[in-house]
Amino acid sequence: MTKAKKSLVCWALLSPFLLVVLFPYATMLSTSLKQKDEIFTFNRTWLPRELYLGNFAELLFEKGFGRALANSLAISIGATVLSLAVAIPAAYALTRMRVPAKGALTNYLLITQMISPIVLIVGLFRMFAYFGLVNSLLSVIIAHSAFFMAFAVWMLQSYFATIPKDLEEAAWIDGAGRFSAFVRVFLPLCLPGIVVTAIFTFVNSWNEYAMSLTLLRQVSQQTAPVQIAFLTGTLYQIEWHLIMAATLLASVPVAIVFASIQRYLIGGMALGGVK
Amino acid sequence: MPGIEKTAPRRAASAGRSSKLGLPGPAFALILIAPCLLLSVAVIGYPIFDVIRMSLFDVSRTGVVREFAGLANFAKAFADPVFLQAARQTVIWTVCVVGGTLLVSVPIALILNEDFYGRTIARTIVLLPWAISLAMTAVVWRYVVNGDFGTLNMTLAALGLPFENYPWLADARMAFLIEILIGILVSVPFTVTILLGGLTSIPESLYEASAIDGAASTKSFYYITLPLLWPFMQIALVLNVIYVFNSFPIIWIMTNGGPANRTDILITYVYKQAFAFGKLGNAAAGSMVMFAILLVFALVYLFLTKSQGARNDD
Amino acid sequence: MASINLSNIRKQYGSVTIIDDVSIAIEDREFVVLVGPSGCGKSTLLRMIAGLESISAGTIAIDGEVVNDIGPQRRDLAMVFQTYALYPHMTTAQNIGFPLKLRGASQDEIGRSVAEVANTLHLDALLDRQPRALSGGQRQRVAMGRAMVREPRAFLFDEPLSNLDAKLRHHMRIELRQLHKSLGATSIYVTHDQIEAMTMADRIVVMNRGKVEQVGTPLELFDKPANVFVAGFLGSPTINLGNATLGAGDGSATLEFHAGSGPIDLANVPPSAHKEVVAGVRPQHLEVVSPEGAKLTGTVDLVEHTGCETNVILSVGSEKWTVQSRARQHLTQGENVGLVFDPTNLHLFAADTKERIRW
Repeated sequence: MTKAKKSLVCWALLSPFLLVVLFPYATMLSTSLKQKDEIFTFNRTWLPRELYLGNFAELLFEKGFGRALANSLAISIGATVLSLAVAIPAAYALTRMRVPAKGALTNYLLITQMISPIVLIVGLFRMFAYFGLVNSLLSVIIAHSAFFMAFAVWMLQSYFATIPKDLEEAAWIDGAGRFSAFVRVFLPLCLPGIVVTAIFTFVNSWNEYAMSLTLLRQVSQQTAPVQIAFLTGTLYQIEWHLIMAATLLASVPVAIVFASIQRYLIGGMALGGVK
Repeated sequence: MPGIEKTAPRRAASAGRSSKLGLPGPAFALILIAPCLLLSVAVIGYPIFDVIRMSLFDVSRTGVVREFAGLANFAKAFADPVFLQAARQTVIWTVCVVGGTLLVSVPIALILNEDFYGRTIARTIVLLPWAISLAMTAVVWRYVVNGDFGTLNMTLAALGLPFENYPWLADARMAFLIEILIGILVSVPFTVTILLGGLTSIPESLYEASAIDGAASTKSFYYITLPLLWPFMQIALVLNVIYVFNSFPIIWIMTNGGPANRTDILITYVYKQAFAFGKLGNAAAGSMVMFAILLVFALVYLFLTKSQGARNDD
Repeated sequence: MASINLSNIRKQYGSVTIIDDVSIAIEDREFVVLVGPSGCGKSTLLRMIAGLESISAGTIAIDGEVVNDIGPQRRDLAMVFQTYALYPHMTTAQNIGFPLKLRGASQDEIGRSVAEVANTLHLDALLDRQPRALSGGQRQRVAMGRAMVREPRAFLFDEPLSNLDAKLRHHMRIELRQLHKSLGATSIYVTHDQIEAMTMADRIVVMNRGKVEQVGTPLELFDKPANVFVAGFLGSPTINLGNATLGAGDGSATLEFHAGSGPIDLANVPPSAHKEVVAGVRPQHLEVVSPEGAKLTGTVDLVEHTGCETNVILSVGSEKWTVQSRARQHLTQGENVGLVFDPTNLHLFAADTKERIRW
């Protein structure tokens, strides 16, 4: 079989699944470009009447969805920075130093990575309520960091382990202190790994729903996914044209970023997961 | 001064001991790990403790923990027909989503492991659902299958099929089925990623060797691909069980457990008990049941990875 | 430049002893090679000198100053790693200049020193390349340059040539040796390759299982190995060893191989009491003769022609022996031959202690 023929067969076999994956995107795109009267009618079509961008404008300027996007952005950046700030030193220690009870520690982190926050949501809510942090973006930043950090540690560890120890030792002998060798030699080399981990953490935080839903109870503090879900539940007539515009805004940039790191996930992540 | 007299001999003795080199020891390593550990123990450990406590005490609507109640909360939960129904539905949900995911993912991973034109694009599309918030996926699908305005009915009608205004989510069975299918859709990317990692780790030389040994391609699939992929499938299975078992947004957003609790699973039951009905004791008991099940699967995962790690070291 | 003194060095991981009571005095400007089979502790010892491994007991002194508790940063040594350990994100010039940069040298100074070193090592054209764009030999040179640039107290080499192919290795051996001649720097060089040890060292330290077996100049070690291990480790092909009995003859000792057929007179060895020994003869010192009347015979297994030399591999009793000669040998497999040697080239070791018997 030639490669061309094989490609045809492969695409044909994949097409049902690809169709299902892409269907919601087509829906988002088509609906967000339509005007309200095009949706609530009997003669509906995939193609909008014209390229109408009014939904986006209405969403951002009248419905305050910009605020939700800003909240999401603040939380995701905060959670990414905080989790990397604690995960990088931990991953460094776990790959490069003799750590007492290392096995127990890694197992603990692995297990926390599997505990879904939603199972503990009642306890989480009460804890943040006790500190008066409910309705504060900080609570979600802390919660996201705590739950996504273990994965970051684990991902960083597998990157760090690929940097030969020789390089740091060479730097020490060349006269660099431990910290200086870390900053000048180690960090630049694992920057790609750190970037991938950061993006992954960012996307996870951006997409998280249950904790944001529970800990942020005012509309002005809702994150994008929470507000979108909220819009489907509160209005008499659900304004799908606006909601689809919102999902498009909140998902396409993240999807593009995510797609840019997918080749690092295949292989690296799966192999690390088994070993 | 007694202080000086005391330190002097100690210094002398240290010359015979292991040298220090100014290298940080285990204590410093622990300092590096401490922030990570503290954050984790505070934000994950404390709620665990709190949920355990609430599950064993009588808790008021406002969250005041009153007297010790033993297993009363658990007894109440297990006596609640909705809880039992949700538990049953959780099993159906988990088995169907995880099973369906594996059934769909294995062939997709095998295809994506082939060398064909546009493979990178195909991989990107397959992984796309992973990049999107489950909440938004649920919202979009809720609109897609909307009876009156959804794009699914619009497309089916355009193809001449009689689904003009079919209300997909009104019937509990159909709604649950759709939720399960969406559950599969969003679980496939992660599973395919793991399986692809497994497939790329099988050296090409094995296939060449088996071809020289005279194995047909179907045989080499059974004797090489499947056995070597099996550990990855096990991992994917256990991790998917863990993720799917307490997956919240899809059901919460699409049907909110309804109609008539017929699409509730444990996690939506617990959430409603806590945040809609204020039955914190009940919610905590339900949480504990889920937490225990989760822990069992987490330990299975640990066991699987450790035993495979040991095998890889040989 | 500096002298380095190791006294009673010990290294333990839990109950496992890696280095056992090692004492070596390395003089200023000396080129010392640590050689031994893999796992003998030579690399660990080097890393202890560098400050990369802690010392369980004993002291390391550089120029008389005990450095046990001083980190690698402040020992002012330079090291060339087996993997070269070039910083992948830096160019050749940045790699070589890195030690100076850490010491706060000005850009001018760094530029001048780097240019000078690059000139010595013929790296001028490669200064802007990153390590991945360099060949193995070039990387090796950059690693050397990084070590040389700051004129350290001593150079440490951890199997620096083992990743090069045979031809390049030979070439780099000569270059390193010449470099040492011109710099006159104290150097400690770890290798498992006895040819590197023989050709490069002022003095060789042979190590085995964490202990020093013998220290001496290459020819001392080759001519008078202190024990069976050193005799077997140095020299190629490997020395031929056979169990034998030392006896008393007419005014001199006699030697009878267990696999042989009569005592051989050792004119140069004083008569001695009956004694079990291990006798060793290097392949270059053996000669193939007619089997008639020979006190030692063997059966030809294989004849290898390398062009210049011919190696005859024989069975002598249960041992495999090798005879190396410059003459072309026309022998057939299974042929019985006699073996003779000049007794001055004989090495004798006590059968029980494996130590050299001196006379």
